[in-house]
Amino acid sequence: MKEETRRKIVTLTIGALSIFLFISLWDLYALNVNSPYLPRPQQTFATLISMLIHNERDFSGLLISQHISASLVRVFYGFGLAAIIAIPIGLLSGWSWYIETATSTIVEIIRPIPPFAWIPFAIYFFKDPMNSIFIVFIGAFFPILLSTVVSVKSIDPFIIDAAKTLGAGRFNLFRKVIIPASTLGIMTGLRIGLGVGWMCVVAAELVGVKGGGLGLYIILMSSVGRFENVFAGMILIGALGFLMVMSMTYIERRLSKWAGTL
Amino acid sequence: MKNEGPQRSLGGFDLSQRRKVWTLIAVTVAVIVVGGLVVAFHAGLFAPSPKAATVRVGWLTGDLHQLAYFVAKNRTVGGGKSFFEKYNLNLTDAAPGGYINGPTMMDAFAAGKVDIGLLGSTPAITKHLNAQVNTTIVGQCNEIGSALITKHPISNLNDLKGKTIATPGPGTIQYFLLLRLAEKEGVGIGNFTLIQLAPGDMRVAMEAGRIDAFIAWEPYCADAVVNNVGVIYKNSSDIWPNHLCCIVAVHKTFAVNNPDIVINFLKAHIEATSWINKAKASGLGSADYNLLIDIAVNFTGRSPAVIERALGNINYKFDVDDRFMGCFIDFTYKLIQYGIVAPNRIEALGYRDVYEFANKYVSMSYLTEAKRT
Repeated sequence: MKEETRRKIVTLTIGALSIFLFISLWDLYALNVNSPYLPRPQQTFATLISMLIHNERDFSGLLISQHISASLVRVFYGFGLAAIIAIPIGLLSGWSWYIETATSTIVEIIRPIPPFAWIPFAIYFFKDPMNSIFIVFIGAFFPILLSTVVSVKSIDPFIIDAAKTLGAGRFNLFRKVIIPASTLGIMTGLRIGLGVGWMCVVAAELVGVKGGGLGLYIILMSSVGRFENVFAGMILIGALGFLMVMSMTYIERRLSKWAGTL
Repeated sequence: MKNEGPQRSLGGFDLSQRRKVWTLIAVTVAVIVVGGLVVAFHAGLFAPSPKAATVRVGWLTGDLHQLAYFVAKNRTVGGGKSFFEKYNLNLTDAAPGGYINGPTMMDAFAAGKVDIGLLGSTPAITKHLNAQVNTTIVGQCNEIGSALITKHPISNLNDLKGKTIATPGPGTIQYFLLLRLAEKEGVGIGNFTLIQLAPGDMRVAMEAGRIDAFIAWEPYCADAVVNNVGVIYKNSSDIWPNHLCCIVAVHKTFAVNNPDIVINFLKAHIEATSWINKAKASGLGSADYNLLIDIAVNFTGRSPAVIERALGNINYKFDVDDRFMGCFIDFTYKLIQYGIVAPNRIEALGYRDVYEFANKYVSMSYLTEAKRT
């Protein structure tokens, strides 16, 4: 218990120091460059605090709270959809050689295509809000899928053999062994997928979205040269992504305890 | 047999030592990377590329407002030698195919990639004030020349509530004019879904039902009308009579170091603009008019019928007169009012007020000299 507390303190201290170091380097570089295209951290944080406290309305008529909630909703749906589709496919692909063979080629062809490249397709085939959700979905889908496949394939064969010896049928084996044993790998994939989903939100909001979004906010402010606001928007995306990934890590830890009891 | 892993069997001490080593490696790598960046910066690796021997000119893709640039390049117009050649100018396009919009070109100015640019007045004002892009305005290309096109006829902007409107991008003059129209008609801009599209794609997007309206520069408005894809709700001259539109901007350092080049560029620009107006006045069937249409067709990729209609919606003008300055000042006030220009930027840049900003940002001397000689 004492060791755990000590580790937490060390983790927090190192985390705080690395943030401090990062901000110091940013400030140093911004001072050196002396360009409005790279505002100093104090200007950026002042803008960030002001826009959050006053819930500022930008020239497109939208409040910052509307931008935040719109992006959250997009990430939530895009990521959720990716998880719902990728996990079952990944479980089956990892479990069955035939399914993996059938899916792996197409997955490896589509996976390297950057989410930006899907924008014209999304504009043409989907209406708002599905067009932007689709871009987040594409970004989150493959990390989840691949982690799931790998986690199933890396299950210790002894466990599977033991379950078979004890009389487990295919369905029970899948439900009671494969799924629980691959949970941690799936969670890792979800965590990575969520991070990529946030990365895609700016691209997603380029397709033209109703109700704003933080990506749209960044584009708006960048177009008119208000780079303090651009950086404030970037920090907001980073902070929200970080909070969501941390929540995921927390769930992952809980699940790891549960998986460990299996 | 379950994978406890050899790491765990190493015991707490070894693991902790290993972590320390990795932390040390990570910190060392971070220091090397940051140090490298700082050295690279000082060595000029990230500095704007050195100025080319030729003049790099920026223009907007398919923007008929900037026809004078293509006329000045045309040898037939100049009787075997283009206007630019006549004034010994060696020009190159800063971006082959042009820039997608004015804000993007202003970023290129900031990066030192453009010497002279033809772009909308609002991005030139906005990015100079908000981001201190070091440019100066030396001439005009045109007044008016944009329109709001709707898929179906509407009686007022309320009819477009909840609908999708495409613009060439926030920060462009067309976006600004849309804000002005919404203000005039008492409709909050937040009632529309505004998307950014290249003007060349707007007609197709409207045909496909992806957008309900668009505001763009010519000839893309005429393109939609001539092809029965959309109808004009308002010409930009109805939104803001005689409004200022595209201007000639120059990187300030380039202008200071190369005043003769700027003056010669303006001389060619003046001759080209005057030739356009004469050719327009000479009317259908005259050789100059046909040549004008040919140049515009080649540059925009639109049909002669579209170009002819579009030309009727543009006033080509090179001069910086009282009307220009009055509109420039009004634009600046509106940009501040709409929150596009950040508060206190005029004062922060050392200008006493908007009038002083206008008088200093617009450099009359180059044009005066170009007109004199």
